[in-house]
Amino acid sequence: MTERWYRLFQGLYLLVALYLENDLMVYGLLALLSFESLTNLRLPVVISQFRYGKVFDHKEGEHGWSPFFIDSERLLRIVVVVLLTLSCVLFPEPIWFFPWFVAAMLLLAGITNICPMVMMFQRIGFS
Amino acid sequence: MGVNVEESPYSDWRANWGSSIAVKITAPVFWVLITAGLIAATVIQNRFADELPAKIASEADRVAYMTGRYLLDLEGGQPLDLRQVIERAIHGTYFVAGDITVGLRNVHFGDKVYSIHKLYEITRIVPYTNKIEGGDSLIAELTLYHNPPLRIVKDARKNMLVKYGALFSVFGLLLVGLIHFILTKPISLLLSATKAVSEGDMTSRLVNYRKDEFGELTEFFNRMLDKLQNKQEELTLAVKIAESASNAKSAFLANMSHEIRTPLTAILGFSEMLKYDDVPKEELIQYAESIIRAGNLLQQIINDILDMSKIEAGQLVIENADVELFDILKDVENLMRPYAEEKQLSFRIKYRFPLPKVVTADAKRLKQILLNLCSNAIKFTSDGNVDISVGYEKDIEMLQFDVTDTGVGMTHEELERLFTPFSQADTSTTRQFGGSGLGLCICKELVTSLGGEIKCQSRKGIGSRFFFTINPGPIADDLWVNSYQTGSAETATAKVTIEPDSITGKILLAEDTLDNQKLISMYIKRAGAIPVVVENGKQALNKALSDEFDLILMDMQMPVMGGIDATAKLRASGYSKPIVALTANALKEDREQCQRAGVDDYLTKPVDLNRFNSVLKRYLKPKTSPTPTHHSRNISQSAMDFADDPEFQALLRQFEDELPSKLNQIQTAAAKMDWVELKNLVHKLKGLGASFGYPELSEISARIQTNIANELFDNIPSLVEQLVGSSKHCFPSNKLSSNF
Repeated sequence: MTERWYRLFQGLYLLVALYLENDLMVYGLLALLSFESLTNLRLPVVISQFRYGKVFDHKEGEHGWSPFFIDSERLLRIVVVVLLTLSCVLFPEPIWFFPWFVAAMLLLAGITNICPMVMMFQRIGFS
Repeated sequence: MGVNVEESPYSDWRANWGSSIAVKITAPVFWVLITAGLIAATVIQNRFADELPAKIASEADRVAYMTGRYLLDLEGGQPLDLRQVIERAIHGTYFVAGDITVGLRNVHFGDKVYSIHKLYEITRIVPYTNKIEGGDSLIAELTLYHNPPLRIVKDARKNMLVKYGALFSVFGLLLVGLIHFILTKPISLLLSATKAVSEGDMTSRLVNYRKDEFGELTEFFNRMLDKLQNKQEELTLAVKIAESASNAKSAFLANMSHEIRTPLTAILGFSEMLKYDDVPKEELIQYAESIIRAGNLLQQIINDILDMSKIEAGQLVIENADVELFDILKDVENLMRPYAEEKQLSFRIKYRFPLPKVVTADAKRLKQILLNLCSNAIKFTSDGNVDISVGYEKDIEMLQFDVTDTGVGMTHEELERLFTPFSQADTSTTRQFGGSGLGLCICKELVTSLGGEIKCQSRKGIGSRFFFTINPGPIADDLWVNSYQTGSAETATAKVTIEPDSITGKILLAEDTLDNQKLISMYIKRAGAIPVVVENGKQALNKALSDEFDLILMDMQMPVMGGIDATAKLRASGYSKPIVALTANALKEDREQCQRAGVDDYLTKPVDLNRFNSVLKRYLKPKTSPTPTHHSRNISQSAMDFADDPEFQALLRQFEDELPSKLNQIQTAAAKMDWVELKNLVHKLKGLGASFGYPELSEISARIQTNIANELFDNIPSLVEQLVGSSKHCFPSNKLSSNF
């Protein structure tokens, strides 16, 4: 699984959860992304490791897993977790549009393979 | 270690932004649309939430009103089902259930019981008149239930987002399709064509189906490819031609190397022999004659090459003038007959009368053509005869010359490439008979320049016939002759001879090299003139303006003031006496520079006595009563003619004595890398060496000079060593050996 497909899946999942107003689904996604953000054990990487026995980073090719390595993908997850926590848990009604925005942008990033957030992180120096 | 793209989770993410123009356009458009859509949805939703209570109340009023009307109809005897009526009234409103109490009747409707939310209620009193029971005014109480306002807002929001989402998706698909049609498709086509071109397929072309900028781009792209293809074809053709020419020139160079080395071997070999004291004088004369013969052959080869280069550069000048036809033929006969007789061949000229006595042509070039054809005929004929036949063809008004021989002849294939430059009939012929392979090509160009054409007929083993025509120009009636009395052939090879002491005059010789001063002064004195020697151009200028001279011999490269400057100043001051340039620089540019400065004639070093003599005769008066103290002699020969002359011997000894110090100076200059000084030193040695009969020293000096001029300084030390070695070789017995 690539990050692209993972993002596409995340966007679709979040849209369905929001449409169904299923808070459990949203909390599940939040939990998964929080786990990924905290541990740096991201699902695509873990799947990749299971399938091929290797872990890759952006620039240096193959390397081992590190909980301290922060790259643009990890930062993206942190941002998504923060936004979803703010909009779905703490202030669900005043900023109701944020989870929809996040879902739509994740879905679009999955379709087009262009994520402005990741691009921005990469521009400021993260791998 | 490289990343396996297939296995990396980042593989396709890395190339995201650079992947496609359609994506680059679509993605930002959707970012804007999503953001704008959500902002618009928020605004709409907030307004909707604000207006919701009023809308609910308004709808309750409407439902109450309609209920009242239904009740009227009911009391009027219409058998309506009250539940059905009210359910119809609340359809499409925010209300999901309700109760109505009419008198003692209470009717419930909707799914109030099954609702998961706490329902909100709103009550309306519906007034109506009981027409059945005497028209008493009655009331009915209507209670309506609706979802909480937030629930209604959320439902409305979801519906709105779904509608917007569907709309944007359709819009996005249309946008992508449009971008693909407008941008991506033509760019992809252009990309494919460019890729094909980059891989070498120049036949690839785009179909132009649009009239916008892409249409123009397509058109210009196709035009560019047309031009590129044409250029490529031209280049391919040019490369083939160049390769062919290069091959021909390589073969020519190899051939030339052989042709030049052959006489050079004779020249160098016999020159070596001249050094020995024990050689009898008769043999020395034979050696000298061999050297002259080989030199003439070399000169012929060099002339051919120069002619060919002139032809190729389009600089061949034809100087037509009225010339005596029979004189030309007589000259050719005089020149060729000795060679024919040497090979025991019969040489005849057949005149097909009537012939014009005078024709308009370039005598030098016509003679050159005939000499070339005749020398070829003699060269390739071992026995039999060589004939020249000349006649006037009235029907085409051309003069026709035939050169026929009974030589080796040629095959059809050999004939086909006969007039091609740098080629002979075949290579074996070259080896057997020699020759540059340029002669016939030059002949063809010359004949064309003279207004005619040249052809050849030949049979292998039988002989050949070269015939050409020239345009003789208009011929007056009284110039036609029907016979020609051939006289005794005087040798046309006679050199310009001069009796010693046969001319008179005063000559100013401007020459900076002492040996050259003495040598040329000796030549002048022997001719009978008085030399006055100065060392540089400034002295020459002063002397010429303060004294009377019949001729100035001006070296071009001198210290203080060069010959060109001195000549220019003399001419500028109104000096009108003849000035002859005398220099070791023999290039065309040097000649032109001298002419621009105002010299009347040009002599190159080493001094060719024949040419020197003719210059003296041209510009100086002959003595009225020459004293025949010596027998008439030909001074056009090499310096060896003066070998017995005590004055020359003295000069030669002085040259030999001074040579070690000169070579020392040259070596010092080379070691110090003082190229200006070195160039001056070798320039002097170049002229002196050949003048005293040591062409090897001149040749190496010239090479050093050329290398300095071309800034090829790395070659200088080895050339200087060669020069020293050559000097040892030239003077094995003198003090050079001890000094070096």
